[in-house]
Amino acid sequence: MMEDATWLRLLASGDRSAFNELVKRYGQRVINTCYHFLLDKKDAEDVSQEVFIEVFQSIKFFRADAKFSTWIYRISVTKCLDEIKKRKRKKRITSLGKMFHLDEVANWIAGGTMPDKQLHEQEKMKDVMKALNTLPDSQRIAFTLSKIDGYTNLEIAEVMNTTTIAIESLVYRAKKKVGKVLERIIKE
Amino acid sequence: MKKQELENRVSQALHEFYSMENLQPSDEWKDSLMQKLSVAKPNSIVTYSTSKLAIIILFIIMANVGFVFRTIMKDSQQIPRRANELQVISKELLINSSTINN
Repeated sequence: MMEDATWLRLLASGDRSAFNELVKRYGQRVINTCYHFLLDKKDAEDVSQEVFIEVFQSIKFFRADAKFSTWIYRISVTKCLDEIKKRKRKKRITSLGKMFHLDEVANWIAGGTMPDKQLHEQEKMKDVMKALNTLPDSQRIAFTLSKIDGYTNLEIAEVMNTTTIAIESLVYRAKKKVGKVLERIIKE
Repeated sequence: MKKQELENRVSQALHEFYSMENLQPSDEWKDSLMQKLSVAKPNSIVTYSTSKLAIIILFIIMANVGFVFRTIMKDSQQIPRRANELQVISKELLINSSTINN
């Protein structure tokens, strides 16, 4: 394994082997982070690729005094939240289209059809997704990251630029709220 | 729905979320990433903005210089014309004493 400083220098110069090393080191964690946020394999794969491309494009602006892992996880979280916002926007357009009986147009604007498998997967997690969507970003990030293997509270605190105590509190409040919202959704 | 049943369903939904499988980056995923990467270009925000800023500043300076020159040229043409006009007006307005007497 290359030394971090050398590896980062090579990565910044656009070296392909350094990029392969990057994927090897962080690929799985980034995909899993995206998967837990988006609850959809296909989207997780697409967004995680965007994360690596962003890293490749912005590596020159990475400050060496910061932790690289924190930086890449922060990019992952931001990309996922952007994707969630995009989804909400699409959903609004789709429902607007349905209201005016423009299903086909709305579906086209919303990004085409969805494979059955993907639909089933989303259906399974639909209630959890709905509940997570009610959380403020900070609670959602803390709660989601805390459920992914390998993320410690300290690491989450670094990603969110806060303290571990704040993370514990955010996770606690998020869990409580998700439980309540899920109860309400299931009752309906 | 009974409270116990509701709680069970909530914890089941949460359990599904907590026990989500871990995804592994597949070869297809890597290949597709490499393809996307070959199209992507490194961000060069600093050089891009610097060169763009330099061009904009240069354009503003040139425009300013042009404007100043135009104004100077216009003024230099207008000064003798204005002087002539003033002379004409003063001639027209000046009524000398001989004209009144007549």
